[in-house]
Amino acid sequence: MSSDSVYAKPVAPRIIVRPAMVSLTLHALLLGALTVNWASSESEVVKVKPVPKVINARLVDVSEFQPKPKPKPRAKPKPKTTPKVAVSKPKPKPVAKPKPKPVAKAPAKPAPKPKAEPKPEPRITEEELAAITRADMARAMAAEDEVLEATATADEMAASYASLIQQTVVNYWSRPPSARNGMEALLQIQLIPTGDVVNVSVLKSSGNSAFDRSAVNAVEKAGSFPELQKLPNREFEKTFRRFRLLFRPEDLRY
Amino acid sequence: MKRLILALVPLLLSVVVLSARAELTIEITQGMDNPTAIAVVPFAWQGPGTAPEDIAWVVDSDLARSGQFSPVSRSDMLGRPSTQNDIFYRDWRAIETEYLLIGRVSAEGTQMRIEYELYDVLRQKQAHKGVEVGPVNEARMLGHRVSDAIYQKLTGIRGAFATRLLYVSVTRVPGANDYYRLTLADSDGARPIVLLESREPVMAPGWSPDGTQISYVSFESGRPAIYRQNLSTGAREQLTNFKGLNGAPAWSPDGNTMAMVLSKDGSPDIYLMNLSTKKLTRVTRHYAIDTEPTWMPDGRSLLFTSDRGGRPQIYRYDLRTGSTERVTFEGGYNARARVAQDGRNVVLVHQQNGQFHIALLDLVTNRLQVLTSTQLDESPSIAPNGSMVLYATKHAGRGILAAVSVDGGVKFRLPSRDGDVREPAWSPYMSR
Repeated sequence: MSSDSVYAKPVAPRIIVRPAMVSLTLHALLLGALTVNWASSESEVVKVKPVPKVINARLVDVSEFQPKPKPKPRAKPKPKTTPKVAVSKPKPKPVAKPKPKPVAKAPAKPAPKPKAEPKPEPRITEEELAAITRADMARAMAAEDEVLEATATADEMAASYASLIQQTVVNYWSRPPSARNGMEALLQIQLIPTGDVVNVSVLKSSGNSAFDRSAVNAVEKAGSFPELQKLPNREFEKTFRRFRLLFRPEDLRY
Repeated sequence: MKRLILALVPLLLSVVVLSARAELTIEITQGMDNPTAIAVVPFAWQGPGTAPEDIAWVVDSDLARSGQFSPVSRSDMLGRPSTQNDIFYRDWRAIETEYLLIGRVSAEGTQMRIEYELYDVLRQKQAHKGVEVGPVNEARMLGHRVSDAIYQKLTGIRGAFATRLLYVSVTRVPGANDYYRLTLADSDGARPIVLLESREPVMAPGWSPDGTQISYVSFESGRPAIYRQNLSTGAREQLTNFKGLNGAPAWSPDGNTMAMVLSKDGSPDIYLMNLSTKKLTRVTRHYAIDTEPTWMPDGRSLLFTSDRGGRPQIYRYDLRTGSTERVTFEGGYNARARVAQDGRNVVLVHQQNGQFHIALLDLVTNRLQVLTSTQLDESPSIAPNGSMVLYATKHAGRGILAAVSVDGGVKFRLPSRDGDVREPAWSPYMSR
């Protein structure tokens, strides 16, 4: 349309937009970082997914590494053992980004950071910078590995117990004929350290009371998960004192 | 720029939302679908002498026949409570009972009263209670109503036990004409009542949508004619007397129209009769055989069998547009369709490897699933709640009635007296 002119559009002056953008981005990152850190200190945040094997690292050129200002939320890994174990939602992982271990032994050539540092800093030489970066990286990596290893064990443990609970409940779940694929009932389960179910409540109904009842019955019939007694107390409190079961059939005729 | 800002907003929000939800959630997407264990304790009889009918046994048998329940054997019951105070949940949990049904039956004059209570053994609380009152001679029907209530409560699907069946039985008489009987029975085959007895063939029984009238074809006048009959008054009306074929009457869902097959104008075609004016409208006009019309639950289209493509297949006629489309494509023989109330499941006779089976066609996915493994299965009729299919088959050289659940998982045979039994028709829900 010819009547459309650029002047008709209200254009925000760049002088406002760009700083606003920068500020917003920074705030977002800051909030993200804070949340991640806060979440990692908050012991309730639990990842049940089996942690991907971070050990089988490939040899990576140091140049691939852009020193990151902060640990980046790790991509949500696919469950390895059973596809049905899931965490509440893809959660920004407190775990640091997996870094391959052998980096320290990586080719000793200086690690230039071509994009991050386009112009040389006058006060530090390139070798010094490379050395600092390498040392920092090695230190950071060692710390990360430690955290990662501990987390992986806890996560793996949680995942295996979650999968055990899942399988037990599957074996006890008889759906009513009115059940349809895609129906969803969310239950909250409370356990005591003996593994006994002490409370089952419907957090979100499927809208079909027979379906909801079948889900509650599956947990009641299971009654107890005595294997959880083997779980360290800390892990039990963290993950299984209270958890949720989402009943969402996928294997019905329709 | 703006787009970037817009993209950041949900990101910020999601970070906040995610951090608020920290609890572990385990997803359950599969199940085992075992039948529900229920104990139907014999109901306490609170009248003189012995109870006229074992109501609890009627309920027990109904639930068992549905395949959705596995009733606890009476010999395994550690107690026979009839009131809440008598229940020891431990006893029932010990034999892995999930639900417990108890009740009390009393009679006053000709009226029977059934009070029943359903208990959830796992949660140790009452799940449902109800009362059924009716004539003593309808005691079994009252029991079926209790079954309906329990079934609905526990499966989420309306029960169809308090319904009835029509079927035709034929008794061979050597050296003379056969005996044809049109029989009405409870949904479990009990209490058969002969509505019509004839030395000439009786065929194609069907129900009015409110369950108060039936229709059928009788040759009693020497040639086929369509009749309708009121079940409570016995009043009978002959609807057709045309030359040639008069057959396959099918009541429309609103009860005002009857679809039928007439050959008065040549080859058999589908017609509609307005039941108040008796005016006929021709629906199909084809040199091939068009027969076995049945209504979709919305009353807007008809399914029928036609061999216009060379072999019998199911077609659908749209009453608004007048267009016809083929519905079945799998196999060389698909006939005599009946539609479930959901308008999605169609049961029909399907030929596979030279044998005739009952199959279920899903109109949404177009998937055809063979339900039966016997070889001369015919005349499927679906329960008003869509859960079971009744059909006629041969057993030990004799025609019998059998039923199969729509998932094919449960099969049973209905008891029938001597003679060949054929053409079952499951009633709609009966009004009280």
